[in-house]
Amino acid sequence: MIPTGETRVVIEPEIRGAQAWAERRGIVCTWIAEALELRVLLVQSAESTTFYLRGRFDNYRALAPEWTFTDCTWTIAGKLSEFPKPITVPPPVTASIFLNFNGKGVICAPFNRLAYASGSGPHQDWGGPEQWLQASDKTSANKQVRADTVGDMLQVLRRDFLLTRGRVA
Amino acid sequence: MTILLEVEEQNEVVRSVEIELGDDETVEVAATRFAAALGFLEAEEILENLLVDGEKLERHKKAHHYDGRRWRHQHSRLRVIVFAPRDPKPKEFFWRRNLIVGAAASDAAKAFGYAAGNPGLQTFADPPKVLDNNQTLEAAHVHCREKLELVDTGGGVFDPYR
Repeated sequence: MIPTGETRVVIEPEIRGAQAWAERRGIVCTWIAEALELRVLLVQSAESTTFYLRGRFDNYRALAPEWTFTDCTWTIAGKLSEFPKPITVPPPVTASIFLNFNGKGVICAPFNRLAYASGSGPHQDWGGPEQWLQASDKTSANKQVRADTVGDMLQVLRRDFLLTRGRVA
Repeated sequence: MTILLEVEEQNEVVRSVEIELGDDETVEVAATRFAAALGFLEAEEILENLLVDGEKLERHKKAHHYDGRRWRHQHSRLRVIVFAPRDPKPKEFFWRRNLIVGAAASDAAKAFGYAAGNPGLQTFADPPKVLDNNQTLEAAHVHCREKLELVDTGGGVFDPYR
């Protein structure tokens, strides 16, 4: 277990980059330092539907962070009704990172703790969330997504969010 | 003698650099030194468009042939401002128009400290457009002074919706 103070020292430079990114894109992004939690509002333009993207960063960077969509109170996570539904993905992107796994919404990327089998996700093949950077090496070698700072993660998450319409359920 | 080179773009100076040059050294030597000092233009392209007091500098001529110490080069590259999600500050690049988008993205990714991944570039439009990594910058309609953002173009891991 890494003390919160140590994690903050590691993550806060990344948060500054992420907040600058969010500002450029007009996205509301709130960092709750004491909880090591990032809250991001993503809005589907077609019907102005708001989605609540939450990142939790305890033990970051020893472990991958935990990314999911929640309800509007930022507490209930992973329900399909809170997840955006992917549409056809145009090249050069090959597939969305948002998926329905066993009836639960999962953001399927090496930078998400919940994508690993130990986090009830689909990936046993990536090892554990402590191996997320090595898993990223493998996936990026296969032309699959890579993001290893908070800002880069948000960029990828929004990239695929823009290719969604409505909710999964 | 000290010579100032001003790199212009649409009649605006976007970079300048000073070099020391001996009276007997040639215009080509000056161009080589300018290129080394600037780090983003080649001596040949500087030589193709190098002016002093409105007069084009000629190859092989020696520096003392020209009175002016303020030389000008109108660059023909695309000056692009690139943002990266990990960095609050952008970086500026002078890319050739025929550079492939993927190569430009790799260049930018390296400058921002990305060691791996599938770098690409996207526009600041809403929604942003991810540029085709196989096109040239010109074919992708990138224009001078355009702002772009680095994005990883890698795909998702699998997609059970299909």
